Amino acid sequence: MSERKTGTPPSLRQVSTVVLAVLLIILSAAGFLLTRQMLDLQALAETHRQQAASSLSEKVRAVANIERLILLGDQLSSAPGRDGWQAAGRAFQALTYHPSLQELNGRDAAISNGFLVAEKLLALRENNAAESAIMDLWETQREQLSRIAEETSGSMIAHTTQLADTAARSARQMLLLALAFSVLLLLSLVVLLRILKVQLIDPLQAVSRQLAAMRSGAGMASKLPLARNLEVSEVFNALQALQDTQAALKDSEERQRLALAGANQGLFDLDMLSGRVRVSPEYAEMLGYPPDEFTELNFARWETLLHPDDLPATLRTYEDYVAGRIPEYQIEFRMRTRDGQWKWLLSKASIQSRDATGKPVRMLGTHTDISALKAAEAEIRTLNGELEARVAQRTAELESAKRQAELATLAKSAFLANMSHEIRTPLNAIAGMAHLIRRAGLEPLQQQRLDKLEAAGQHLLEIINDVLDLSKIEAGKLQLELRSFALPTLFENICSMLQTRAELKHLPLRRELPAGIHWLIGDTTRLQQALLNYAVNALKFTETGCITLRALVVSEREDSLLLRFEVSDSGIGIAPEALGRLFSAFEQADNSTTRKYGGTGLGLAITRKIAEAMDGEVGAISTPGQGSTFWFTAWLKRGDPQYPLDRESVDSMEADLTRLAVGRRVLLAEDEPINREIAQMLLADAGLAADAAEDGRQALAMAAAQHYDLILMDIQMPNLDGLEATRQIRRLPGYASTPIIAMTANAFAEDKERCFAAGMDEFIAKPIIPEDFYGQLLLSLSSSAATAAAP
Amino acid sequence: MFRLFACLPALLLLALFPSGANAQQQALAVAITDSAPPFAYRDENGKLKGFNVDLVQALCQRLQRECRVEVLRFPEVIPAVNAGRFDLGVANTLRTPEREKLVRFTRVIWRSTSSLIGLRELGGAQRATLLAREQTCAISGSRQLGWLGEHAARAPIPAAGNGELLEQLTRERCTLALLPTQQALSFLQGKEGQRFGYIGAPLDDNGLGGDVHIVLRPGNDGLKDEVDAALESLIRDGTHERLSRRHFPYSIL
Repeated sequence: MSERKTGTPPSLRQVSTVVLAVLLIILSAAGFLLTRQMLDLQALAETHRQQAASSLSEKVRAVANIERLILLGDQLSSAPGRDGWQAAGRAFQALTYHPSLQELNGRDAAISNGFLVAEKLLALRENNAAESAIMDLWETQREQLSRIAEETSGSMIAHTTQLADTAARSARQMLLLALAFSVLLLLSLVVLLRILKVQLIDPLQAVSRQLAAMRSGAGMASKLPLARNLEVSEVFNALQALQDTQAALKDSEERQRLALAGANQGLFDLDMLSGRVRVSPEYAEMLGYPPDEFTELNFARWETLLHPDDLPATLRTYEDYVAGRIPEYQIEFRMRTRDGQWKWLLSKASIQSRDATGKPVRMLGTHTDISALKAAEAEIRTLNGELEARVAQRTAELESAKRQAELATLAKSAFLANMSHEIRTPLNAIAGMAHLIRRAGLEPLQQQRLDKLEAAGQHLLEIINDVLDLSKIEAGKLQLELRSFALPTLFENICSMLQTRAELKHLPLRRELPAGIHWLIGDTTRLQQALLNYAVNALKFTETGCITLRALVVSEREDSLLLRFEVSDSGIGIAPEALGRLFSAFEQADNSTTRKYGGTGLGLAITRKIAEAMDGEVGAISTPGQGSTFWFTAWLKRGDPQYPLDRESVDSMEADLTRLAVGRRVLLAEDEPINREIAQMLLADAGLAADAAEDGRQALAMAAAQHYDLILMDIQMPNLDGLEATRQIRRLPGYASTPIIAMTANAFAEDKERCFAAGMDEFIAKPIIPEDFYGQLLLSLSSSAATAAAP
Repeated sequence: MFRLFACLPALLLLALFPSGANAQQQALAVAITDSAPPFAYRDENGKLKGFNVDLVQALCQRLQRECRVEVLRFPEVIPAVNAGRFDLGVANTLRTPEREKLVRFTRVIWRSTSSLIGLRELGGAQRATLLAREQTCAISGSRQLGWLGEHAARAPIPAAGNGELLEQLTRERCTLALLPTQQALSFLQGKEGQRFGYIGAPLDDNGLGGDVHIVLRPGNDGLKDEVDAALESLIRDGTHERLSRRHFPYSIL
């Protein structure tokens, strides 16, 4: 749309107001001046008229009175009777001074003089003077009066003529003024018409021409004139908008036609009353007909073009839609083309108008050629079938692989369990035998060799434990056992465990604990393990100086604490580039470390896993040559005071056991002969006589045959394993509360749970550590004695 | 605007006939004197006659109004009209500033001078001499009486009316009488006036000459306009001239 105007013209109302105002002002001014002039003229004429009337009547009256004077004078001078001339004379005298004669010319000279003349005449008549004398006197006066009368009449005529001239002049002036006003009115009318033509008639004619051109489809007829007022400007703009709309409509129709052709669409317009259908050229072309042969068809012919198989569904859809049973008309069907082929069409339509009763009378819709779509759908269906088959095959393969993987995992778990069991069993024998040999007394050289043997065994056990631990942790099987413990006791235990080794290197062990923190709840075994990992390393890599174990409170909550555990040493330190790798499995600062100091490289990785399990972190600060500080954090709950039995030395425990063992019978179920022997020896050292069963079945039979005060039960045994044997023993009379202690190389936590679930009371992992073994026996027998003593 | 135009004819009717019905019903009260022949006098039968009587009759006819005429003495006329007891006073009244304070005046009905009359034998003497010597008289309340008071040596004798004035003159209680010229003429032309004559020419200065009017009650402009228009009409159509000739030997206007 082109912009017609550069500025806003005034509105017609404004223009007409201004024009009318100007004309009104001009005409008003002219009318005012004219009226004033005419009023002046009229006033002047009126004044003249009044003056004329007054003057004339005055003069007429004066002339009449002069004539009266003459008459009275005649009577005075010639009347025969005395009464007559005397009355006439006195009237003459009275009249001479009458105001009606005062304005006349010559009054003083003639008329006023008449009073004296009358006096003389009266005297002459009274004295009977000669008529000639009387007449002479009177005639002179009479002539004067006659002359005054004539002059007055003459001035009346002159005055009247002058008045008539004045009136005529005034009339001419008024005529001229009226003429001027008429000319002004005419000019105003011309100006008005001119403005009307320019402002309205010309634009309206232009608009009319444009509309005629638009009606005939010729487009713009000619350029529109300049809009001189707002209303015309708006009409021009509206006209321009109309032209733009018309052009846009044509353009839209053209685009729609192209779009329909491009989209393989045709339009149809169904007269539902007559059954006639008008279709667009695209529709005809879609079915292969020339457009001019196919512009209109009826319903019957349309049906013949429809595929017979699609006809019932199509008619049903149409009837359902017309009856309002379905919200929209949309159906796919096939139609026969001119060359006898079938084409798939998608038909969509909607009712456009209804009659007064609501009955539909007209329906508009489109037919879209979807043949290509249908072919593509068929191809997709085929491809989908193939794809589904391949997916099923691959799924089966994956499931098979998963099963194999699961089996492999199970095999790995079983292998680890077996490995643990199989390694721990001989280690138990080695450790036990070494213990027994040492108890039998040795030469110094033998003592040294046995120390090395035990150290080698201990190292082997640590390696096994670490491997198993890490394996379990990485399998997500790290389970924390929460129980109340005293933080100082934890540090004391660690120090006592390291004390011997520290003294050997002359390294003092220092402890720094936070004030006011004593009882906590956590997994002491794991905390001890983590701290020991650090502390053992510190001992290992420190030759001089000292080692400090430290605990700090980092953060506090209502019921828990975040503690930071640190182990600082003055050892060789670690290079910064190695620090980041330390906490990964199987990593040490460098390979030479392993060669020099030994170790699995798993300790720090395990510590990291333990810290993470306790919602904490790990880290290390180190300066090569000066020392290191290893730390980890852990969230621990605040705990209540617990008072477990004090651990006593092995010797005192043996003494206590010996005291408690009097009259007590112990059943040992162990299938491995060496381990059975070691256990029996350890028990015998404590003064406990033990009957040995080689498997679970035998143990069950023995328990049934005789009462035992304590049962030590291996788990993995032939014929009847320890778990089942325990369950059955618990069902025997008198064994409901008899302590049954698991003693097994199956050291996993889940093994422990299975034992407790089966009814066992305690759990001792192989290889057996005598101190732990005796401590456990002492606890169990004490509780058993307490139970037995209870009423 | 339309309603204003609709009301316009009614307003015009009201303006054109403001109180037509009342005017026809309400009589005009007219005060008149009866001792100023030939303007107003009673004939031998006691009937009121004269120029003024005829003029009042013609005026009332032209006004289409009923007139109630009542006779007063000359000095009573102006106070009575001023008091509102009468609409019109017809008493040969000259227009003076003092009177304009009391009443309003119509247009001129006639014009007058004053004449000093006395025994004929006095006619030869100078008027000033006579005024210094002789006893004068004039009608009470008249301009003439005032003038005599100013110019005569002896205090003038007032007379209640024209008849009394002339009686004082004829009985020689006074030797000089000053009165309107027309009335003087009427006397001089009568039988009793034979012995008397004009003492000098008529006087028209100092208020002794001038216009004579009908007086009206003050504050009644409408009536004045009506009466003026009617008088103008009477003068134009010659009625006034005819009445003048009926009573005088010349036109008195």
